[in-house]
Amino acid sequence: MTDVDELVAAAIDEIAAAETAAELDSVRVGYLGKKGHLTLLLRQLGGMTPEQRPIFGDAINGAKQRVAAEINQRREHLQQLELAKKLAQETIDVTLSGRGDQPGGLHPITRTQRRIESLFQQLGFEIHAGPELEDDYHNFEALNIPADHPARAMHDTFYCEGGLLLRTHTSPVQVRAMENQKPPLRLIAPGRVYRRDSDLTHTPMFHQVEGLLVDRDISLANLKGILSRFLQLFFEQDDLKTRFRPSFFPFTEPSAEVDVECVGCAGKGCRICSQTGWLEILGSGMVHPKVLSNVGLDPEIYSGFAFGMGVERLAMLRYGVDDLRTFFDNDLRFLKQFN
Amino acid sequence: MLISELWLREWANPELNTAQLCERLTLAGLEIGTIEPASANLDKVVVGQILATSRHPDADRLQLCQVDIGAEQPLGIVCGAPNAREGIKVAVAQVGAKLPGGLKIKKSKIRGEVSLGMLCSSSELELDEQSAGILELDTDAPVGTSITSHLQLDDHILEVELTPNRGDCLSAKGLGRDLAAITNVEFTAPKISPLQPSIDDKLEVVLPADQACPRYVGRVIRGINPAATTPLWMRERLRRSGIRSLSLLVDIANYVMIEIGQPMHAFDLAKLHGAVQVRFAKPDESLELLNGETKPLPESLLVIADDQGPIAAAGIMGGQNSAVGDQTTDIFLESAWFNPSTIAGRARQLGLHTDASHRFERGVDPAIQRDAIERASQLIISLAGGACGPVVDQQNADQIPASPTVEFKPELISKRLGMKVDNQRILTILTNLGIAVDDQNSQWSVISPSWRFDIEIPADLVEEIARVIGYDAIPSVMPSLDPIMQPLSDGLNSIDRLASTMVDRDYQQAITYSFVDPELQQLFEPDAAAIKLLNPLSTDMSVMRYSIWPGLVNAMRFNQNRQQSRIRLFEYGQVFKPINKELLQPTVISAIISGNKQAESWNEKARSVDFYDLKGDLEYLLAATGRQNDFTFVSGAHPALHPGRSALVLDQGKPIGSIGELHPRIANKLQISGKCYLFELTVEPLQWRKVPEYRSVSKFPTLRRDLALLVDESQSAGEIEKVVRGAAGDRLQNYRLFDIYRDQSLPEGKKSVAIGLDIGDQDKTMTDDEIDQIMVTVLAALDSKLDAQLRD
Repeated sequence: MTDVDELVAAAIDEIAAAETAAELDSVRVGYLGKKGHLTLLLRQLGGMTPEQRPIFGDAINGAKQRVAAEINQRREHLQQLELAKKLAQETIDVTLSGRGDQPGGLHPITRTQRRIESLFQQLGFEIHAGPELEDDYHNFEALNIPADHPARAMHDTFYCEGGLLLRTHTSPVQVRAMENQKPPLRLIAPGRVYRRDSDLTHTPMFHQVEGLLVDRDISLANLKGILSRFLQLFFEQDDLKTRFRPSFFPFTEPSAEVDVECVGCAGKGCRICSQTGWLEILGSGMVHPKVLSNVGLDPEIYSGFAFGMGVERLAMLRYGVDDLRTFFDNDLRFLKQFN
Repeated sequence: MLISELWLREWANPELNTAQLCERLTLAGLEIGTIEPASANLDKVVVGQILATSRHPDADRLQLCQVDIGAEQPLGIVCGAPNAREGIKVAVAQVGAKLPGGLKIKKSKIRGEVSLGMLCSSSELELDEQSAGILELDTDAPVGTSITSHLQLDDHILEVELTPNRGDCLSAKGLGRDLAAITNVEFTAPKISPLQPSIDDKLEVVLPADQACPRYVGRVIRGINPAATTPLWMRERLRRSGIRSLSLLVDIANYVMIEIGQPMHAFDLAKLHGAVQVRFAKPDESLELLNGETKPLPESLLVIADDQGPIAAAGIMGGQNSAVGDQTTDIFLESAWFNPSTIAGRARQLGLHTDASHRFERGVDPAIQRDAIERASQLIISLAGGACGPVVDQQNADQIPASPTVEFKPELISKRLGMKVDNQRILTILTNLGIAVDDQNSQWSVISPSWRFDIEIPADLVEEIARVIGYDAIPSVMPSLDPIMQPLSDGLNSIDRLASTMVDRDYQQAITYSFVDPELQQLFEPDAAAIKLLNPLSTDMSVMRYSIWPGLVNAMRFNQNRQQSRIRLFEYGQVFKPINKELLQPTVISAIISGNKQAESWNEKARSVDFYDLKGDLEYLLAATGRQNDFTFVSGAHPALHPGRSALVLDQGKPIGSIGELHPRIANKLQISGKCYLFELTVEPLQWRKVPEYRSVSKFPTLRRDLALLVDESQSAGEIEKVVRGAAGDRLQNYRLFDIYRDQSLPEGKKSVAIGLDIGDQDKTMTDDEIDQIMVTVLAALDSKLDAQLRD
């Protein structure tokens, strides 16, 4: 029995000393192989008494199992060490950038326009588009701006060959919609518009979103309700103050200019608002009865309001852009700031 | 319009400070822009009187003046102005004063003589842009009073930004009248009493175009002192109205215009011949206007004429041939009413915009012509003497438009405003505004005052009530709208979806002008007949774009010039194509790439973009339609593209755009560094998206067969695919071209193309024989149609 215990102790020492899978294997062969020390001990069983045999046999088998277990444990340990070493060798610099493209981005005007569209779409406003080269009727006449009307001077129109003009606002889109659809009407018309003006604060092309709501019993209070809520949501400022002032547009009566409290100074007065505390931001009004009857709607039955806003102006205020003309330079260093 | 606050307050004076007054006007639709003080700070500048003058002992041009400013001792002041003389009242800047230009007045010695102040010119006080000599004050100016108080400089110049419908407010009287109405204070209009004529002279007035000019009031005044000058008070009021003082007669005409709103004109009587007539211009007439420009007169232009021809462009500007000058003693004064529609736009046609045309085209009160002529006569005679003849008031009353009567139900007001306004309040507001309320039963009937041209329909009254109540008093109420559920087509791509696709492929959206340089456009589209602007801002923005490419190429160059070499831009928008007399304005989407494929990186070798990079992006965009197989590329030359590296994009055989490398000819001409690639497609076909049609997924395996083909170098991949697909039929599940091999070992002019075919059947596992049969058919077709054989 002593032999067995000694052999086990010696095996455990050798197992612990094995540093590689190969060394461990030779230990296994040395003890458990066909000619291994423990295997050889079993051969001595033949020379033993029947009483001794099971006792001695159990002892040797127990020893073999123990040694085998020790070897397995050591093997796992060595495998783990091996793996750890391999993994250590495989380590990469995870802070290096990944492969492939980064996304590009929409122009800030488009980004702003989409925001405006989304806000109005929540109320069931539909997006409409129309031609940029327009006829005089849809751009002016139908909107109650006859030839030689002083309001035409406010528009500085570009004229083209063939009697067409570059639309000065997206209102003609509304006219076309009203010609083709019956109330209730809720639509917005975003797009490029053109005026013959170019200086620090004007570009000859810019973007507008105009909107129209025609239904029964629409009031100036409703115009105020929707537009002031829109402005609060656009600027994400729930207590944003708005101010409605009487104004004049030939296609609305009454008309209202809408100011918001200056977003630069919260109404205290700064350079952005020329010290007034207010920013003029929207033109609006109740649709002029003549415009309704021009498109075949009875102003006794229907009323509505229309509004228009400059997308560049909203984008400038929202993102703090201080030079209008940068929108059309298409400088990548500018554009990428809005991705 | 600019107006003095103090002058305005003479007509209506609510208890509001300047800021409150301006806010009230703004909130009533009479927007006040800037508010400027009437003058700079003029502390320590007082009225003085020169008691005596003597020559400066050491300087010929200087005088020593003894000036009384109400102090115990007169001040000794050295002055260089030639008009400094004994007795006149002057503006004295005392020691310690700081003049607007920054000059500080100190006790000083000028060539040895002590000077205790300075006698000021009007320009030194910034009351005039220029001045000759020192300012001479009125003889009754009280000595010792501050100049600020004497000239009422404690005033503001208000800039009134009137909308085109409010011509009635283009005067102190008109603005005061509205201010009185909106603030509910008394309106103080000074009474103008007629002058008794002291001579009989008059000119006959004939109104043949009486629809355009139904009323013309004129008067002869003789014996005016031509040397009389405009008094300082009038000059000051004109200055604060932004009008330069020119001569007494012109100043008076302008003064009356600003005061009560009637543009006036004074003709030199000696230069007139016969009766004055108001008629339309005759063919080939022209006139030298007061500004020195000679203009041909269109026949739609109303003119004032005498027997010899036109003497003024009616309601716009007088003629040089009848102008008053510094010798004029006898005049004919005009105060007329022109129909706004006759004047509207005419000044602009002549390239002019005058204070008179500005007022006439917006509408002048047809009831004030006589008042104006009396007021002007009174000013002329009191300031320059003379004797006036009788007023000739020629009119055809039938042609003066009657003030419209508007009928409305008072409930309409509450309904349109969305708040309750009671009838009494409506009545008060309308009455204050001068709107006569005739009938007050269920239907009200009101008459617009003669000075308003913008009250014609009930909605106009709604606005009047609203602006007097104040828009801020109207509640903000969300309307209760019927819900609308908009259709949402599964078969449509929005433009937003297409734009997002480009963004996902690393493109930056550009927005370029829709008008471009015709020469640049010509390079891209030599045959295009682009739409020209008749009044472009500049030649480089004078034609409408036929394609977005010129704009994108410019944007690329802009960036390349700023060290940005990797360019990936796209833009969508309308282009303008006149085709067969029809104008098409399709929306297109375009892209440009240039520079490296990848942003410079550690992990990829830098490589310039090529055709297939852009084509890959384009195919990605086309994939948004879900019908990739509908699109084909055929080589096709676009004049702006490299003939060997460009393709026409077809949708089910119909061209929808082009893709390719920018033609080297254009690149050279524009000095573009490196190659760039462009595409442009019509957006509409890309918006048609396939609605999925379900097919059950086959339970049976597909088998892959690869073929290495030897084909002519000129044979395109598209052609090979077409032939293979045609021959293989619908059991070809997938096709790919996976290798192209060129080598000297191949026969001359040949290339090897490797393709892979996945073949399978929906309903069964195919046998090798069946597949072989298909392959035989495919090879036969390749051989017969493309002369392509299996490579050994």
